[in-house]
Amino acid sequence: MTLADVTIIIKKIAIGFIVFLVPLLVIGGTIWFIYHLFNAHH
Amino acid sequence: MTAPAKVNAQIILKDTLISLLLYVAPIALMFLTFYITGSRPWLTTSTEALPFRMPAVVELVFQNLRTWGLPVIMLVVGIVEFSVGLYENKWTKNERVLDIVCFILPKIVVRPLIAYFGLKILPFVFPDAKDAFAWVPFWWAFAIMAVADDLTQYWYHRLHHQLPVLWRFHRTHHSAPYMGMAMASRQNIIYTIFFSQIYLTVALTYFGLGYAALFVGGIKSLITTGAHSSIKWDKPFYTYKVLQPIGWVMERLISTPATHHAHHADTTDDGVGYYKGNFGNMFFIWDLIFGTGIITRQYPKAYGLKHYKQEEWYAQLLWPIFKSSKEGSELSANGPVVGDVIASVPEEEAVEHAVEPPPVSVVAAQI
Repeated sequence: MTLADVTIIIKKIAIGFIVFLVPLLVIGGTIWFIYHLFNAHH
Repeated sequence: MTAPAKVNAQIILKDTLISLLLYVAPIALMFLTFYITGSRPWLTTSTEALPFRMPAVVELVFQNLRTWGLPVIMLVVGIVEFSVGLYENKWTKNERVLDIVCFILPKIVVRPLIAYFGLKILPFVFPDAKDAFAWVPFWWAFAIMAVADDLTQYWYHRLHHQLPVLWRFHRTHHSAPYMGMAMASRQNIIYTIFFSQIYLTVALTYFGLGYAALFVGGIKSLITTGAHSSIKWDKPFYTYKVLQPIGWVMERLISTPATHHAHHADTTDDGVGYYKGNFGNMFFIWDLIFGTGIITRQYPKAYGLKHYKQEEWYAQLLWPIFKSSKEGSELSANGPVVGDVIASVPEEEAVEHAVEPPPVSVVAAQI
């Protein structure tokens, strides 16, 4: 394995992490946010 | 950045923004329903007992499907495919070893990683969030999980085709010159270990949506397995008039052998094969929404990669840790990043599969 190989694996993991994190934050954040809106107004 | 790469990046950005709306859609609809009906399930649902359970027999089927059921189905279908000669003598020793190792190894390597993520990392990062969404009614949780899991896998898959830097991690899945159970789980191990949607599903399970995830996972496994099979079970839906309305809906909603085989074709220029698109796994509808799909109701003449060099099974499994010794291979030490573009194009300019904007989505030849 060369430094270029390590770099490409890190890039791959980073992109995969973003693909995981964005929906997690959007879904989790949306449920949490609207839930709190409901409880604040009702 | 070159002009085609810039166009590609713009398309990906636009589709990402649409995806955010798609992720939110079932959640927004759920709360809208609560608003209209006055329902407040979090006031009545405890995290100790689920408010909804599937009939025991259904639950049992899906629990067993997740553990031993699916591998057994794959083995049985694979044996049937092999027995009736659907691999056409293309299952050489090298392909055989690769397919079998890819079938077994993830079950040994990936499961402990997922368990560690679910039992150690998530409680550390989100100590107070366990079962925080357990009040979400089952069918809403089912919709949220189905979109979350499959849309995330669509993106993970699509990016491995459209970003040259990622292509070689996914190449192993496309190198098989046949379709069928033998290659359904055939992936580079790094691609499999970092499957984004697996970790997303585990995280949402930790947040309390796990019961729905069990059923989403089971249905998804059956659909994706069926789409990879060399048994063209969808053909009657295009042939018999009485079944055609069902076929019309089915081929737009889920992946079928016709649409997914097109994705595995060795050419994209014959009007049937389309490896530049048809990225959907459980749902095909993502390809329709993003304009990355075609529907032809036909099956490719040949599968795999035109530039396949029968690379050693260990190189296909473990690249870039192990390299291929095959001259000019994408998996060799100094091989091209993307084998079906001109080898002299530098890595950052080699925008494989997406140099032009995707075509209008549907070519429904027999409709």
